[in-house]
Amino acid sequence: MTGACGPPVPGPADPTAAFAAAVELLARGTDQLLAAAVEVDWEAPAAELYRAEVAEAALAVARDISRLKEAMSRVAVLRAAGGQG
Amino acid sequence: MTAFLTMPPDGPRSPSDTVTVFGGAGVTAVESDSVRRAAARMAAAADDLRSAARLCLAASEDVVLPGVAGAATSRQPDDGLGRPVAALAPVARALEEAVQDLARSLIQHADLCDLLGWRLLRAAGLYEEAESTAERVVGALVTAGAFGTGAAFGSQGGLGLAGAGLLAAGELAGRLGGGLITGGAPWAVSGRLGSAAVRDLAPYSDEVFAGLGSGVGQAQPGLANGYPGIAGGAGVLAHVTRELPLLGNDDQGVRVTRITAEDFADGSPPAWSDTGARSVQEAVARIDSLYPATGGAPPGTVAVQKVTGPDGAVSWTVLIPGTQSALPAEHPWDGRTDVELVADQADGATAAVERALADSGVGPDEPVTLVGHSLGGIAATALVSRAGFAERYRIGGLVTAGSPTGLLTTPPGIPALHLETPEELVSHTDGRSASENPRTRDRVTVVRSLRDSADADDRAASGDVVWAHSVSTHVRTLDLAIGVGDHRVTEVADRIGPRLDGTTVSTTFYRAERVGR
Repeated sequence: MTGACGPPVPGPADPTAAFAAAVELLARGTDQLLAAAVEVDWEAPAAELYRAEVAEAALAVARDISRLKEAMSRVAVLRAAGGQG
Repeated sequence: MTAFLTMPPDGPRSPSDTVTVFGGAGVTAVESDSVRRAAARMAAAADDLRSAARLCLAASEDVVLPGVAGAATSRQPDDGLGRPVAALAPVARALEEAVQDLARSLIQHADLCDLLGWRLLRAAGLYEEAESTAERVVGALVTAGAFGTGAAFGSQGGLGLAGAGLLAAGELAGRLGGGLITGGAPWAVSGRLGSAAVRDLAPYSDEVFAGLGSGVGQAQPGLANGYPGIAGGAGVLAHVTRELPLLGNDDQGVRVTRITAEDFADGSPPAWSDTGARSVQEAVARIDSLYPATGGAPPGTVAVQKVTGPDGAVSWTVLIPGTQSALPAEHPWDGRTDVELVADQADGATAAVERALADSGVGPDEPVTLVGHSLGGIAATALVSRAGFAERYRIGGLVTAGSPTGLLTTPPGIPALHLETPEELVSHTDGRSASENPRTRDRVTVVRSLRDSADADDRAASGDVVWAHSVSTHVRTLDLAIGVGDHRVTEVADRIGPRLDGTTVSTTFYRAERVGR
């Protein structure tokens, strides 16, 4: 964030690419979480609790992915509006 | 896959995360392999989430376009929709904040992944917090210092030992009595210790007691009866409490008598007298009713409950309270019995329980569950570990709360559950921390670090020996351990619990007194 005046110019980096990489990481992380939930071959009460909590965590990360994708869309619109689209 | 970097959460933990379990039935090799793989995946997921958060944070700075950040611009190019680009600045800033908020959310979820992996490993008994090198060094220094102090007391002969005996009996019993020092003096060192000091010293209290006990025993080997370490030191102190004028007494055993409702302060026995305990926690909680101050029971009272199930099967539960007098008293629930028990010497409390059981008419095939708090827990464990007792009675289970039981060995096949917290100090008076208690398939120790808890009550209790040692604190510990579904705890509790309740229940209360005082 430079705060400089003047017409919009392309930024030093395209956040869209970074966000896309983050989405990929989150997708992989979600896969890891789902695998971690089903991986446990253990029927103890603690394992049941663990599965439920990991499933909740996976859902939360999935919601984060949606938020990130929405942010990507907003960035694209903004940058288009700023003359880069 | 053996090495794990999963760490316990930093800072104050949720109360259930302050529980650690030792011993019990371990998971199978297949189960432990799957748990380790799952924990590794959780750690990998946490890494991915943190990497994504870093990318989002870095990119968020590029969201606000150069030239649109400042609202007061001299040139305001059109955005193509008729709006000046500067008008986009608030939108860009809001987006930047949204992305940063998302990054924070990702970091929180990464921390959660680490926490869940750690909890899984802990519940499976595959994670144990190791003492740091610094902690080990401090522990060794504390032991050495306490050894010197104990040896100095012991080398002073009778007077020195009298001082040590007074100090130890007063301290031990003052702590064991849970604040009910009916015959004691108000000079207990624990009262002078600030809450912060108690909290800080708690992890090293086992080293303090081990060093002191060994030092006293080393200085007076004849009185230690050949016992090494803290048992020898306790033997020396037991001798002092019995033999020295003013401190000792020449009693000739114990007398055990049945008591009636009129003997209780409010003229009636505890409300639970004709109902069985529906859980191990409830059985432990009932012990509070046997203390004179909290339950109105006469000093030295134990409860023997007979439970008959729907099939006619009979089982018994014995509830044994803790120390009620720092100094030798007219009943055996005193500081003298504490040191006698730790020294593995004949004592009045176990004798009283044995007589109560004999009077109750317990059949040879009727399981007996012993539940004790503090001194009561040591007495219960001592009975179970004694040759002959387990042959005479069928032991259904053993539950102790706030009792130093690490020096005692229980027979295989008997489910045993020990509840401890380092901040109570009492359970370390055998020189063993909870992690050093015997660990077998049948024997489970649940320890809770109050000082690591985020709960305000736990934090307060962590600086208050009496509160940390109270029955209610230990009941909460067991509640939490069962709540997190630790299979080692639920397994042993499930073996003990069903024997505590039935369709027909009656309770006999006994009062024990020393004879000849």
